[in-house]
Amino acid sequence: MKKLFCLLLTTLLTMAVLSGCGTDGTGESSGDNSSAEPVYGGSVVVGIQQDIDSLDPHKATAAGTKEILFNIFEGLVKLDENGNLINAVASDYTISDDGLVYTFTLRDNVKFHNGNVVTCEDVKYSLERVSGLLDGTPLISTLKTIQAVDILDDKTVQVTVESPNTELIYSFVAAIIPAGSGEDMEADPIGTGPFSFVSYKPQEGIVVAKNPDYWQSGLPYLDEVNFKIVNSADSALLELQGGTIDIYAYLTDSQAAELQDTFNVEASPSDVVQALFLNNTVAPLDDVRVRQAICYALDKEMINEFVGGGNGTLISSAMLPTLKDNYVDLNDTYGTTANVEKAKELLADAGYADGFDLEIAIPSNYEFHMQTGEVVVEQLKAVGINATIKAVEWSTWLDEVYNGRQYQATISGITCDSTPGYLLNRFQTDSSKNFINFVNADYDEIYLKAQAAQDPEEKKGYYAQLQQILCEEAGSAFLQVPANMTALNKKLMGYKFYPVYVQDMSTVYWVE
Amino acid sequence: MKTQKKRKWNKYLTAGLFMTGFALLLGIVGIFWTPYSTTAMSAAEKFDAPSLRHLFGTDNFGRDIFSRVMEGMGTTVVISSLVVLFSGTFGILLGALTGYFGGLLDEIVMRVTDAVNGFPSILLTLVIISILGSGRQNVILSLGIVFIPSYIRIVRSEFIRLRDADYIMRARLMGAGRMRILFVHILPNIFSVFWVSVMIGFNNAILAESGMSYLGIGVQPPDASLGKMLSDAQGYLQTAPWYALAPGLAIVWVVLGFALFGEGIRRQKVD
Amino acid sequence: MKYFIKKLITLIMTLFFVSVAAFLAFQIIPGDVVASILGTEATPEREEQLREELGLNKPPLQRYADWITDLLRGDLGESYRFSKGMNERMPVSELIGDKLPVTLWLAVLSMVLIVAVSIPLGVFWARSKSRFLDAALGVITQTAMAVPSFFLGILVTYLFGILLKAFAPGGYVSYQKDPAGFFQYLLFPALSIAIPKIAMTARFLRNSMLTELKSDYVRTAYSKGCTERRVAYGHVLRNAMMPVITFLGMIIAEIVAGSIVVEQVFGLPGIGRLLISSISTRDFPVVEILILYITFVVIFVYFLIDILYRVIDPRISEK
Repeated sequence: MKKLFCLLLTTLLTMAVLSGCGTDGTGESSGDNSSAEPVYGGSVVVGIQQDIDSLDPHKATAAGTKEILFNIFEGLVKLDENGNLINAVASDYTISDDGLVYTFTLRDNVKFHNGNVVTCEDVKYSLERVSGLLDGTPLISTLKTIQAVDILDDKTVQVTVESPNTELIYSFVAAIIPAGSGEDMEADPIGTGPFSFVSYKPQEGIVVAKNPDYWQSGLPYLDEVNFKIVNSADSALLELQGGTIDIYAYLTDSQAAELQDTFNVEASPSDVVQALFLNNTVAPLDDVRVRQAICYALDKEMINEFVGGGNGTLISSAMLPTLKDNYVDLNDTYGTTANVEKAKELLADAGYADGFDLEIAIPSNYEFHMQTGEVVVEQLKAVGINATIKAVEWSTWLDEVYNGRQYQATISGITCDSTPGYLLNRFQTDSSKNFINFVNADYDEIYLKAQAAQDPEEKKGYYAQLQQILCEEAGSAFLQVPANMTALNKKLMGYKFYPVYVQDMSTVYWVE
Repeated sequence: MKTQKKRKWNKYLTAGLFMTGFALLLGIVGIFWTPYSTTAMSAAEKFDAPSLRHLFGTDNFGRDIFSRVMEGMGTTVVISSLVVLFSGTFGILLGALTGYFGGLLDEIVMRVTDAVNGFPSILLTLVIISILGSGRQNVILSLGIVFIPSYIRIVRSEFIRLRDADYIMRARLMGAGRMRILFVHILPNIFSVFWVSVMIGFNNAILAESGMSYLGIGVQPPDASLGKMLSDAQGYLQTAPWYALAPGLAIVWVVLGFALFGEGIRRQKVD
Repeated sequence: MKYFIKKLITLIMTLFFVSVAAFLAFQIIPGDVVASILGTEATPEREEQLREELGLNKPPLQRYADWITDLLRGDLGESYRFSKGMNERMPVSELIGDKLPVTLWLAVLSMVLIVAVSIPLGVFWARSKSRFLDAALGVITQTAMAVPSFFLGILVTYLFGILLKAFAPGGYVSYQKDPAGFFQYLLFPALSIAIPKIAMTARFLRNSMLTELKSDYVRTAYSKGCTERRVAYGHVLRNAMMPVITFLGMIIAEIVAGSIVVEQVFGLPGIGRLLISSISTRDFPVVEILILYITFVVIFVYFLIDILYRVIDPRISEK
C-alpha cells in the first residue's frame, strides 16, 4: 500500500473491487446477515498465496505483501472500500492552486504500535525516506517529485513538489513510520494501522495482533489475524474444508462451486487486466492485421466460461470497467465470441493464409494463466495459427519476457489501482514498462496531453482515445478482468472488498 | 532357482506381455487416433462422470479423459523409450570403455557417476530443466543424462567380469582388435543382464517423466501427459475423483506391466 | 584406515564437484534473483542497490571463493530471498534448521512404518505354506511397487482425507505448536512414502529368507532337532536380515528424494518444498546448501552401509 500509482504485473487473481460503484452483491460481504451482533475478539486465519517480499512498507513491492501490510501501516491518507481517499494519520490537508504545495494537519493522538504519538518528525522522516531526500534512493518512484518536507508547527507538515500532478495525492498513502526506524522495519515493523506485527516465518506466514490504540474507535474487532501461506490453490481448498483457514481470496471457479454450501463465496471484479500480450516488433505480430486476426479469433466468452466460471468481465482495452468514469466499452470492436471468417480473411491479407507458429510464454506458477493458455491455443487452432505453450518460471518470465522482451506472445495480468492513467502509461513507445513494444505516435502525443490536463472531463476524453487506439491497433489481445472468488467462513462478517489489492481485517468480526 | 523345474508357462511374462502390450497399443494408437479430440473443449460437458460415452469421464475443460489418457500414455511411452535409448547407448559406450580399459577414464567417470547417484534424480532434472527450459526434447535430454550412470554401472561390472574370461583371452590371443573384442565378443554376452536393467530403466523413466509432469516441468499443456493430468486433477478431487483416478491408474498399469515383463524375462533366463 | 581416508577424500571431492556444478548451473539459468525479488516494479537504482547488498556485483569466481571460504568457516551464508530482523538476511542455517525437522521426521516416520510392517510381513510370507496367500501377496506387493508416490499421495488424500476425514488435507500442523497434531498429520505423507517401500522390503526379505532356508546350515539345524520356529527366527532371519539392512539403507536415500515430491502433494513445509521454491526464485545460497546437504546424506548413508558390511564380514576389507 505504499503507493497508488503502482502497477504490478503480478498475480492472477487479486483482491479488489470498486465496491461503491460496482455491481450488486459487492461491497460488504455479509449484507444479508448484517443484523447479527458483532463480537469482539477471536482470531482469524487468512490464506495467502505468496511469501512476503519485505516487511518494510516502503520496500515491499509484491501485491501479495501489500495486501497484508495494509493492516499494519497507514499513510497520511488511505483508501476506503469505495476507492476514495480518506484521512488517516492526517486529519486534513490542502493543496495549493498551482498544485505544488501540500499542507497536512496531523490527527491528534495517533499512536504507533510502540505507544509513541505520531509527530511531524515522523512524517518528515517517512516522506523523506520514500522520496530519496534522505539517502538519494527514492523508494517510491511517484514521490521522487517531493522537493522539501517542512515542519510548520507541531501539527502541520508542508510538502513541496517539483511539478503539479492531479493524481499525486493518491501517493500519500505511503506508510508513516517512526523517525529513524527505517533500518529496523524488516525486524520490527511499527506502524499506526489497526493491527500490530507479531511474528513472521518464511514460507509459513505472518501474524498480527489487535492495536488497542487504533485511532478509529471500535476497530478492529479481532484480537489476532494469522496470514498463512498456502502451498497452492489446491491445498487452500483443502484447508478451507478442513477448517484451518477462514478466509481465502483466490479461489478458482470450480473451487468456489465446491465451497458454495459451506462458505460464503463472493465474486467481485479484481484489479487485473488479463491479456494475451503480443510482442509488436516480432514478425508476424508486427503486422497489425495479424494482431487483429488474433483478436477476432479469440472467444472471450468461452475463456471466461472455462477459466473463470463466467464471473470475469470481458474487456478489449487496458482499462478496468470498475473505473467507471474513465472506462470505454470497446467490446464491439472484435466481438466477444470468435469470428473465424474475419480472422482468416485478415491473416490471408497479411500473407499468412496458412497460419504460422506462435509460442506463448506463460509464467507457470499462475494456474489461471496456464489454463487460459490451453483455451487460447485451442481457439487459435481454428484460424490456422499453430500456438504452443512455453511454461516458464516467474523469474525467467521477468528476465526474458518482461524485462528482456524476448518473446512472441505471453498470457499474464497487469494490475491496476484506482488511478486510470496508470494502465495506459505503459503503452507509450518509450516507457520502460512497454514490454509489448507498442509503437504509436498518436498514442504518445495524446498520453502527454492527458497527463497535462487539469480538467477531469478533458482528461477523460483523452483516456477514451487512448483506450480506443490500443484496441483498434490491437496492441495486444485484451481478454478479461477476472473475478475474485473469495470464500469466507459463514460466521465471519464485515469483510470489505477494495478496489486495490488489500485485505482489510479491521472491520471483520465473528458472529455467534 | 536353478533347481526349479521348467514351468509350462511363465505367468510373469504372460501378464507382463499382456499389460505392456495393451498399454503400448493404446499409447501408440493414441498418437494417431483417439475416440474424441484430446484438446476440443466443451462447456456443456465439464466434469461428466464416467459413462459409456466418456469411459473415464471428462475434465474441467469438458475434454474426454480416456482420449487424453491414451495420448498421455503415448507421450509417456515415446519419451521413456527415447530416454532409455539415449541413456542406454551412452551407458553401454561409457560402461564398456571404462570397464574394459579401467585407468584414469574409469576413475573420472566413476566419480561423476557417484556424484550423480548421490543426488536425487528428480532434483537433477529440475536443475537441468531450469537451465534448458521445459519442453519435450529437454525432458528427454535431462532424463537421459540422469539415467546414464545406472547403465554405466551395470555394463561396467559386466565388462570387468568378462574381460578376463577364458574365451576373451583366447580371442585376444588370436589377435582380435580391441573394438572387436569389446563390441563383438563381450557386448552380446551382457545383453541378458542388460535387458533386465532396461526394463527397470524403462519403469524409472516412466515414473520420472510423470513425476516431472506432476511438478509442472514436463510436457507442456495442452499436450496430454499423465503426470500433469494428475496434478490438475488434485484440485478437483472432491468433485471429480475419476479425473485423478484415470491417469494414476494408467501409470500404475504401465509400470506394473513393465515390472512383470522384466521379471518374466529374468525368470525365463533362469529357468 | 587407508580405506576410510580414501572414502573421505572421495566424499569431499564429490561434494566439491556438486557445489561447483550447482554454482555453474546457476550462472547459466535464465532469471535473476534481483529481478525476481523486485518484480515488475524494479527501478535501476533499486536493482543496483540490491545487487550490491547481496554481493552480486562481484565477479562470479570471487563470489564462489567467498562462499566456499565462509562455508569452511562454518558459515552457511544468507538467503537472498528471506530476510530477518534489522535489515539482515535470513541465515541459511536458520532457514534450514526450521524446515529440516519436518523432512527428517517424515523420513523417520516412513522408516519406522517400513520396518515395522515389512519385516513381520516378509517373515510371515516366507513361512506361509498357502499357495493362494503367496500368490495374493505377490500380486499386492508387485502392484504397490508400481504406484508412484504422488499418485499414492493423492489416493491417501482422497481415502483418508476426503472420504474418511481422518485428517485435514493440506492442514499441516507446525511441530513447535502442536507436536501431537504434527505427527498425526505426518502419518499420511509417511504412509504414501512407505507403502511401495514396504512392498519392496517384504519381497526382498521373503526371497532372502527362502534362499537361506535352502542352505546347508538349515538342514544341519533341522537334523540337530531344532524346531521350525527356532530355525526360522534363530538362524534364517538373522542371516536373511543382512542384505535387508543394506536394502533399507539404500531406501533412506530414496526416502529423502521421495519426500521432495510428497511434500508438494501434502503441502509440507520441509526442505523439499524449500528447495523447489528456492530454485524457482533463484535463491542460490539456499539451493547450494540444500543440494550439498542432500548429497552428503545420500553418500554418507552408502558409506555407513559399506562400513556395516565390513564389520559384519571382515573378508571384504581384505580384498
